[in-house]
Formats: sequence, C-alpha cells, structure tokens
Amino acid sequence: MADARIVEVIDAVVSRVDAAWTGKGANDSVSRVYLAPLSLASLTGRKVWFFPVRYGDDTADRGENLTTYTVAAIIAERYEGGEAEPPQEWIDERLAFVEQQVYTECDFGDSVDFLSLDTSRRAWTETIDVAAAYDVELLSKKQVFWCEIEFGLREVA
Amino acid sequence: MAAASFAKIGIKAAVYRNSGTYASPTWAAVPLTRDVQVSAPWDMADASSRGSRVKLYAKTLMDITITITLRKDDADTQAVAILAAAMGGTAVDFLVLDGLISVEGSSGFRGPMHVNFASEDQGAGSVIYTNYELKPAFVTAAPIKAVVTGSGSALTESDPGS
Repeated sequence: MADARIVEVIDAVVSRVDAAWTGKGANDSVSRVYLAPLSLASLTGRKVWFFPVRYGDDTADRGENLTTYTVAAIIAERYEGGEAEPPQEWIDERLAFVEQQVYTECDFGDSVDFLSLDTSRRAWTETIDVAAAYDVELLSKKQVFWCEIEFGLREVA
Repeated sequence: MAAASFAKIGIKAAVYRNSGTYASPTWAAVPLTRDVQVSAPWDMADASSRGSRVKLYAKTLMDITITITLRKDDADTQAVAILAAAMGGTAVDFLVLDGLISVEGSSGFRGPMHVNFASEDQGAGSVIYTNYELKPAFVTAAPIKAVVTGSGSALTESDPGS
C-alpha cells in the first residue's frame, strides 16, 4: 500500500531540512515521528521531529483538489553544559537555529523553493505559526530547549 | 433510455475546446475549469395590439454569455490556448455542457465564441484563476447551436428559436 500523502509531504520536508542543516553534529537528527520521547533526561544532541497533524481537500477546479496539510515540528535539545541554568547565549543560538534552519527552510514557495513531491506535484507554505518559541517549564526544570512550530502546506493536484 | 432522476452537480459539468474543424470537431476537455456561469436570455420585442389588454411579446434575439473561471497554468495546453485566444482576435469553437459529453442527456451550447479576458485575482494569498467571458462570434457556416448529448457522445444540435 502506498504511503499516505501527508507522510509523503513530511518525508519531503524532512529531506529539505536535513539537506539545508549546516553544522549538524553526530547526535543531531531530523526525522518524521508519531510520538515524542517520554524521557528527556537521556536526550542527546539536537532533535527536529516532524509530525502529521491534519489534512483536508477543497475544490481547486473540476479536475483538481486544493489539499491542505498541517504539519507540526518540535525542536528539542537538552543542555549538557556544566552550569546550573542554560546560559542566554545557548538559548539564543537555539532560537536562531529554529528561525533560520527550520522556520525559513520550510517557507516553501516564498523564502525557499517550492517543495517537490514528485515530477508533477509541488507544495507551498501557506501559514507558519510558532506556537511556543521555547517551553518555559521544560527549560527551567529539565534544562531542555523545546520549541513547537505548525506549518500549513498546500498543494493543487 | 430515460435518464434516472438525480441532481446535476456543477463539478460534473464540462467545457470542451475544439481542436478540429466545425464540421468535424475533436473535443478536448478543459480540465482546469473551476466555475461556469451560462446565461441565455431572449430579447423580447413588444408585440401588443388592441386585440388584448395584456402586453404581448415576441422573442427576437438570444443573448448568450458564458463566463468560465480557469486556474492559470503555463503548462496546460487548454489554458494556454484560451489565454492566447483572449489576447488575439480568433474565435474558439467551445462546447459547454451541464455534464460530460459521454453522459446521455447533457445539454448546453456549442459554437465559435470570442474570448474576453474579464478579470484575474492575483491576491497575495490566492491561487491565480482567470475569469473569461465567452460571447458568440459570427463565423461563416459555423453557427451557435443548442446541443443535447446522445449515446456514444453524439451531439444533437438545434438552432435556438427554431
């Protein structure tokens, strides 16, 4: 059975973010997941997780649908330095990574090229919403940088 | 065979463009059509007389206007040809039906029409669609016909008003 279209879309997004990621470390990764890890205490490296959220069709014309895919991303990284609290510079760097390597790199059709799904299909980004620039509780209690973004992608096919 | 009773839905209506001749058409669907509005009212002339206290009319001319909305696409043959016709002076032989040509009982109009570029929404958040207005054109030996489809996609044509 072929993959669901939203899985196709997420896999294409993962490939684009992975290809554009500069300075990726050995423990860093970007992937499609369905469940975030329950234990953050053992988290190593910077993780970018993409999740399917929802999808739906509207009529584009008599031969095509306008399909909307909502895809969520979580960027998570545990502070492994020696200080009691993550320093501001450490947090600033993660915020910059989110904006430049995920947010901008997933602005398909505007800041970057359209997202190619196959030779005849391409998607663009209609909306980007950073639901939480960082999670205050996870940062203060678990020393984990945790950022959530939701993308609305569209395709006419 | 008598048609079964179902509601006709707009998404199943169809627009075709003739790439052959008027006498021997080759109909190709225009798949990027979104919305179509068909208007075909008769002009009425006053035909009253003292024979009746009721105003009487006679049909004179049918004023056909067909508006089609197409998704703009530089790689679609039909969309490109229709845009070219809008910019140029040549009429296009269209078949506009309320169903597929392969479905018996689909009805509409057929004939050469001038293509007018009416409007195009290029809003920042929009997919671009172009609105075209089609008006019947005078072309020798190629009149506008009312049509009904029969079996095997055969068209039965008639002259409006006859």
